[in-house]
Amino acid sequence: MEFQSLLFIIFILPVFLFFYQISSQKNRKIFIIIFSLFLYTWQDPYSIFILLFLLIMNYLLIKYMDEIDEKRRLVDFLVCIIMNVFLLFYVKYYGFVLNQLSSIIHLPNYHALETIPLGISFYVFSLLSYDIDVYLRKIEKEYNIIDFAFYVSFFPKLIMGPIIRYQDFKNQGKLKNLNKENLEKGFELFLLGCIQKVCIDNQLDPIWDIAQGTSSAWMAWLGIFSYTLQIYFDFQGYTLMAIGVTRMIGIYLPGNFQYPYCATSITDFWRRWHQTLSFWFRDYIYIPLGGNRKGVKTHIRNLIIVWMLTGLWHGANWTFIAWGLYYGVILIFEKYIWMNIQKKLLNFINWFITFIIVMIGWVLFASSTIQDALQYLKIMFLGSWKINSLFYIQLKSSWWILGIGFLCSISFIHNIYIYIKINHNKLYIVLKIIIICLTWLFFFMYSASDTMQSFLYFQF
Amino acid sequence: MRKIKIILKKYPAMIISFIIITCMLVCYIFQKDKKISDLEQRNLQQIPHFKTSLFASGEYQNEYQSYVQDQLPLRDIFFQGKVQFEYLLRKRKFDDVWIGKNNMLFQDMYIPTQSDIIKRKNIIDSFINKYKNLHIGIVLVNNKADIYRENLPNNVKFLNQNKIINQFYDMFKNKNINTIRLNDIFVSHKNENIFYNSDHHWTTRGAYVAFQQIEKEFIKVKKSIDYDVYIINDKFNGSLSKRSGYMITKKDKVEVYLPKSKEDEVDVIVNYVNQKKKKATVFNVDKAISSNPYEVFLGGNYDCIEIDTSTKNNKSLLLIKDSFANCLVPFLLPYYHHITVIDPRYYTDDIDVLIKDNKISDVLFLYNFQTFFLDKNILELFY
Repeated sequence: MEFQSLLFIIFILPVFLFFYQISSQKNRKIFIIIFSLFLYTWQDPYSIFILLFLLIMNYLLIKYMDEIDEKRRLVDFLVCIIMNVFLLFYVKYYGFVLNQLSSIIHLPNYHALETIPLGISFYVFSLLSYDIDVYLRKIEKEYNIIDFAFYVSFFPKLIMGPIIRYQDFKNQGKLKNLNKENLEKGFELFLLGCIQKVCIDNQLDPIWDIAQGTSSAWMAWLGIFSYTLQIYFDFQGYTLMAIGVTRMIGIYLPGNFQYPYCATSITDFWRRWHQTLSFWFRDYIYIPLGGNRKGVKTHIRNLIIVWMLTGLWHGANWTFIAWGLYYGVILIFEKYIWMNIQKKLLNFINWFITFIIVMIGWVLFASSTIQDALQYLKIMFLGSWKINSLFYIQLKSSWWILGIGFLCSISFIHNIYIYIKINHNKLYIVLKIIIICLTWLFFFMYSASDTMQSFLYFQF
Repeated sequence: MRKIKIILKKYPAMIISFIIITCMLVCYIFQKDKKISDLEQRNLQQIPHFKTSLFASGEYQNEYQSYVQDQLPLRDIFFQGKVQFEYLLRKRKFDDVWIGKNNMLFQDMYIPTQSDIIKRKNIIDSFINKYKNLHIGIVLVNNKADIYRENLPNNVKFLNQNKIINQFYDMFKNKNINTIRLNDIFVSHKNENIFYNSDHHWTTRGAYVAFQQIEKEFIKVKKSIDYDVYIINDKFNGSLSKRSGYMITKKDKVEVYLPKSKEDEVDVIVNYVNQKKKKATVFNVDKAISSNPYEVFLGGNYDCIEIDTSTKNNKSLLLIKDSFANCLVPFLLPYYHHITVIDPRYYTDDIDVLIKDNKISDVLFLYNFQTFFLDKNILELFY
């Protein structure tokens, strides 16, 4: 169930908060687990079995992992990792791999899953981080299945992250009673995410589709600019709503974005974009492979591996792999060649170059095939620069949302808001009340029009 | 009061959200579920019944989500508020509807491919060759955007329908078919509200203007009948307005033309063949105050309607049509003893048997441009 749906906000959320408050502190985790599993089943009834299987198996394999004999311990650990990776591979990549093979060699009739279980990439990565941390003795293994199930199934983060580490989650302590401060902050974050998803993301949605098949370079740039904003607000909107819901009950989830479109280099961009995933790859793949400490060749190899896996994590398609490799190559270039030139350039120029590189990357990400992406890129750079009516009409009808979206994405509006908060407290309160009321109004206006789109990141 | 003010200042997001959610929840619980949306002219989702199989397939969840969305309190107001807000920000296309100048709404235009044109040409060709002894005519009605181009939003360009209609008609030169062109007569009458502003159909005035051309070129019998015009609904909010959610300030009027003289009146028996009902009028007056008063004409779209008239001649017309023809049918009554009206979108029976059984002497194809080239049912009618 999507957080921005009427069903969730008007019915599910109040029910959740009510039962949370009335259940005893001892039973709260059990209540949240049952509630989370119910919500997951509501959205994807069959995949609940995969989630439960992985939850129980990871719990048992780690619980009974040998603590004395290191060899047996390694075997236990590898069994656990292979099980997770194999299942993820089977449900997400098996069909893709067989498809590719069948174009080279003749394969007998094969069967692959048609739909990917909801959020599997997110919760498998959470489980892997737990398994690895326990194996490396960074954290204690969890003997209490309630605590473990609470971590894995916690509904705000289950489907689209953030990918929080077990220790960070456990450190939050006991589940407290609802209090005004947490509810205020929680609703603030939730509404902020809701308005980003409902008003900005949904409104930008058609432009990219319209730009497909255009011959106008202007329209192609407008299309990808719109997609650039859309994917940010889609994911950021969800993350804020998830953080908001958890904050209402006093749990802190880490953010995933730090104004990534303000980045002045690609390294900087990836420190700000989907942070919990980037940190996961850094800590569990890049650093164990040697990072940048084992010479240039190993460093380059590591970057290519990590970025190919990052691309692959997003989906079983050559476009995602190409997108990952695109960033791998650019980061190598940036670290070894461009960094010295970059230092001499104005910040604005660095920002502009980074923004263009990111937009080009989104063409690979958003296209269905590599051919489509190349064709679109061709139009962007070699298409007609004559302003046509399609571009004019699209720009005329969406300039405001593109403008607001862009200013929000580069923190301009946030900075003004903070400035008012610090310097004009009375105005800030009035402004806040107006924004909250308008958010609710827009939420109902856009909910009534039945134009809401699903989250782009649900598929991962 | 002071305390409330302080709390509101300190916790505005929580207080406002709490009030709004509670109000909405109460409204949802106590309001009676609506069955139909007048604004969109569709059935609203009712509370779904739980079945394990439906739940497993996800259908139950989707229906439940739709139910909550469809039954949102003040839904129509929120929907129209959204459209008005975006209109203020210069958005001019909602769903597939363009908001034009002078309060005129336009449906987005389908551009037919060469293959669409050729397929329809072949169908008509084979029909002409098969029924050489029948008097056959075709009327393709230009859509509103083709006549009122100046009212389209700035920089919106639609294809020239008239050019395509002329090209299509030219394919039937020297063949046994009357091709009736309406463009010029429409242009000369464009100040007379020949199309509804809020709907994609022509008005009864538009149909009458077209009929005069049909009378001249196809029927070829001049009966000078004067008509009185009656307004049966002056608050018509047409399909384009409903689809887009954009409410135009000046509502459309739906008119009915009735002969001035008693002598020109024609008695009819209208037989809705497959619905097994008969009526003594081509007007369904019950629909005059409904949300779609255009259904006054013939009661809406049906697969096959047979009309027996008191007109004394042997002429039997087969009208193959879309909904544009509905308000033109009353003008045809004085010229035919029997009229068979079929809408290929719903008609599935054998047309050859129909022609033979009803002793058809004349056949008229009457379509608006969009439906003729977009709808594939006409291609299947003759197979």
